[in-house]
Amino acid sequence: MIPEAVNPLVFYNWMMVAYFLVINVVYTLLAIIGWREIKKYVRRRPLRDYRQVSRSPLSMPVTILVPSYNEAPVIADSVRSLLRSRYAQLEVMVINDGSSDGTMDELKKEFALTQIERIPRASIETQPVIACYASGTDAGLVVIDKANGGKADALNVGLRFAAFPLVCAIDADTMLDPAALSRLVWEFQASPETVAAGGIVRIVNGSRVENGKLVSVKTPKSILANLQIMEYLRAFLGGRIAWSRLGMLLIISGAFGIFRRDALVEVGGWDPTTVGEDAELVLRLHRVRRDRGQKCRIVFFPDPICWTEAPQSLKTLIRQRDRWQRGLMEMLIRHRSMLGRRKYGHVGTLAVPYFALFEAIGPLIEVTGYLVFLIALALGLVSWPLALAFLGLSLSFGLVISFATLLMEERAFQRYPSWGDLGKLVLVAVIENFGYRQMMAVARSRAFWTMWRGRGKHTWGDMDRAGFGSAEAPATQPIDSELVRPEA
Amino acid sequence: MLAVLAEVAPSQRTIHALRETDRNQQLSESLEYQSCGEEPVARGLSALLLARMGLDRGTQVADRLLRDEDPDVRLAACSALAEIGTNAAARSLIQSLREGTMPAERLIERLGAPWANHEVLLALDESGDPRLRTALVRALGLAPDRRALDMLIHLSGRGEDEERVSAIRTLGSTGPADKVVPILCSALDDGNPAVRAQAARAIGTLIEPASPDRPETSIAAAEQLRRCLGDEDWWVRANAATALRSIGKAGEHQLIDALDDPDEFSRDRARESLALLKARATAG
Repeated sequence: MIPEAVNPLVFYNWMMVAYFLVINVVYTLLAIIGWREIKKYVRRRPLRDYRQVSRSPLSMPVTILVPSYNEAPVIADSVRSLLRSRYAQLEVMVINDGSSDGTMDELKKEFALTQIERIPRASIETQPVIACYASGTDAGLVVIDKANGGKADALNVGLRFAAFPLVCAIDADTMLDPAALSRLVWEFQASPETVAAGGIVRIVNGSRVENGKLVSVKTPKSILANLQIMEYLRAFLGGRIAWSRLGMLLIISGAFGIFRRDALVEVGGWDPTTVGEDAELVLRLHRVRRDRGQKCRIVFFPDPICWTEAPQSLKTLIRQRDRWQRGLMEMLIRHRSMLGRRKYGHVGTLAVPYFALFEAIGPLIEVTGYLVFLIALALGLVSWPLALAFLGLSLSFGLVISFATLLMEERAFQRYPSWGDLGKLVLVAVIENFGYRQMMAVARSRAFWTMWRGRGKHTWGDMDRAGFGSAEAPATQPIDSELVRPEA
Repeated sequence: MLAVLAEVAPSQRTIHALRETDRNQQLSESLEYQSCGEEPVARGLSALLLARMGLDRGTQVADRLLRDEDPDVRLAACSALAEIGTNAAARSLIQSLREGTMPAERLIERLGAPWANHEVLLALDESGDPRLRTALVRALGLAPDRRALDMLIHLSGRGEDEERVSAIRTLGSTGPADKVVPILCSALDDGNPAVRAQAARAIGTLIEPASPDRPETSIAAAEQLRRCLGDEDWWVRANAATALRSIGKAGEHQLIDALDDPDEFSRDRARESLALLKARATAG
C-alpha cells in the first residue's frame, strides 16, 4: 500500500483544494471591486449628459462595422435596428463576407443599393473587395461585398473603408440599446487616451422584440438559456468591470466594442488567423502600445447594452465554448512573451498569468480534479466528511458570488423587473452547480483536444438560431455568428 | 436627493418649491457649500441643481467647477451653465474655451445656442487667437446668426485652414443662399481639399431643391459642382456628387451632362449619383 503522505492522488487532491481556494479568493476580490465600480458608475450617471452626446453633431462620429456571413433571414432587421440608433453622426457599414445564402440580394432589395466609389483609408491586407454600395433609402448605410475570408477579415475590410474615427464592431445578429453608443463614446471624449471600450452583452432569449426593437425584457423558458444569462451576468458584472477598473481588461466582446480606428490600424487590425480575434486584438493593443510607450486605456462599462441570442441547443453551446476556449489559448500562446514581464505592467504580471492559469488551463485542472477526487474517494484515500465539507464550501463560494451578482444587477440596473424572473435566476444560480458547470468545464477541456488535432481552423462559427422575433421558437436555421465570450 | 433632483427635468412647481425652501432654509447656501466638498458627485450635482433653480450664484459655482479636477464635474458644470443660459454663463464657457480646461467640442456644443450668440460674436470680434476663433465659428454653425455673416465671409477667404473650413461650414447653415453661394463657389477653388469638400457640402445644404430662391444661383452652383466631380481628392468628389443630388433639377441636369464628360472620375460619380437618385425615387 502507498503511504498516504506521498500518494499522488492525495497530493493532487490537496493541490486542487489550494487551487480552488485561490481561484475563489480571486473571484471574490473581483466581485468586490466590481460592486464598488458599479456603485460609483451609477452614482455618477446624473453628471453625464448622454443625451447631449447622442444628439450633438460634435460628438465623435462612429462607423458601425457589421460583418455578415449567411445572415439573409436577419440582416434587414438588424440593419434597420442599427440605423435607428440614437446617435447624430453614424455610418452603418455592412461587410458581406462572400455569403452564399442571398444576404447580398436581400440587402440590395431592402435598401435599394447602388454601386459607388469608395477609397480605402487604411492599408491592411484583406481578401479582395468586390464592390461598395450606398443605399438609396438610408444615407447612413454602406455595404461592402467581398470575397470570403472570415469574420476578422471582414472586420478589417470595414476598418479600411470606415470613414469615421471610431469604429464599433458588432455581430450582425445583435441589437444595440438606443443609448449604448453615446455611453461608450462619452469615454473616448472624456479620456482621449481611451483606445477601446466595451459594453455588456445580455441575452435576448425570452424578451419581446418588435421590428428590431426590444419591447420588454424577460427571462426565457429554456433552462439552458437561463443558465447562460446567469453566466453572462457573473462574467460581465462580477469580472469584467473589475478587470477594467484594474486596467487589465483583456477581452472586449466581438459582439459589441468600440475602438479608435487609428489605434486599430496601427496594430494591423483583427487577426484573421485566430479563432478568438476579439480577445487577441485587445491583448495585442496592450502589447504593441506598451512596446511603443503609448498610453493604452481599455475599459468596460456595465450599461451600454448589446442584446444577443444565446444558443438553445446543448450541442451548439458546447461547440461555442470549445471555440472560445481555443481562442483564449491561441491568444495566450501568441503573446506568451508578455507573461510575467514588468514591461507590460499589471497586464503582463497579473492578468496574463491569471488567464493562463485559471481561464486557459483551469477547465482541464477542474475536470481532472473531479476524476481524481472521485477515484480517491472510491479508494478511501479521502474521507467522506472531508469530501462533503469541500463540496459544501465550493457550493457556498459559487452561490455567494452568483447571488452578489444578482444583487448588483437588481440594485443598479433592474433589467429583469419582475419577481418571477428574479426568482428564476436565483434558482438557476443554485442548480447550475449540479451538472452544468461541470459540463461546461468538460466542453472547454475538449478544446485542448481540438487544438491538438489541429481542427477548427478559423471560420465563421455556426449556431442554430430562432431569430429575435421568436426568441423562444425552436431552432430553425443555422445562422453564423461569433458569439460573445463571457469569461471573467 | 441631489441625484434625484438633478436627474429629472423639474417642473415649474418643483422649482418654485425649491426656491421657497431656499428662502426658508438657505438651500442654495447649502448647495454652494456642497460644491466645495470632497465628493465629486455632490459637487457636480450641486452645480446642476443651482442651475435648475435659476439662482444667480449658480453661475459662480459652475464657473468655478469648470476648473474642477474631476472631468465629470467639469462636464456637469458645463451643462449647468448651458442650462442657466445667460450672457455671464456664455462668458464663462468662452473663458474655459480660452483656457482649454476641457475638450473644446463639449464647450462648443453648449455655446451653439441662440442665447450665447451675443457673447460669441463679441468674442469672435475681439479674439486674435485662430484656435479660439475656429471654435467660436463652429458654435455659430450650430446656432446660425446672420449678424456673423460679414465676419464669416471674411474668415472663409483669409483665415487659417481650420478657420476657413469652419467658416465655410457655418456659412452653409447661415445663408442666405443668394449671398453665400457665390462665396462658397469661389471656395471650390481653394488649395486645401478640406475647404473644397466643405464648400461643396455647404452648397448642397443651402440650396433648396424644391424652390430655390433664385434659379440662376443653383444653376451656377451646379456648374461649379460638376467641375468638382473630377477633383483630385476623393472627399471633394464625393461631396460634390452628394450636393448635386440634393439641389434638385439643376444638379440632375449637370449629372446627366457629366455622363459624357471626358474625365473618367466625373463620369463614374455622375453614374453613381443618378443611380442613387433613381433608387431613392423608386423607394419613395
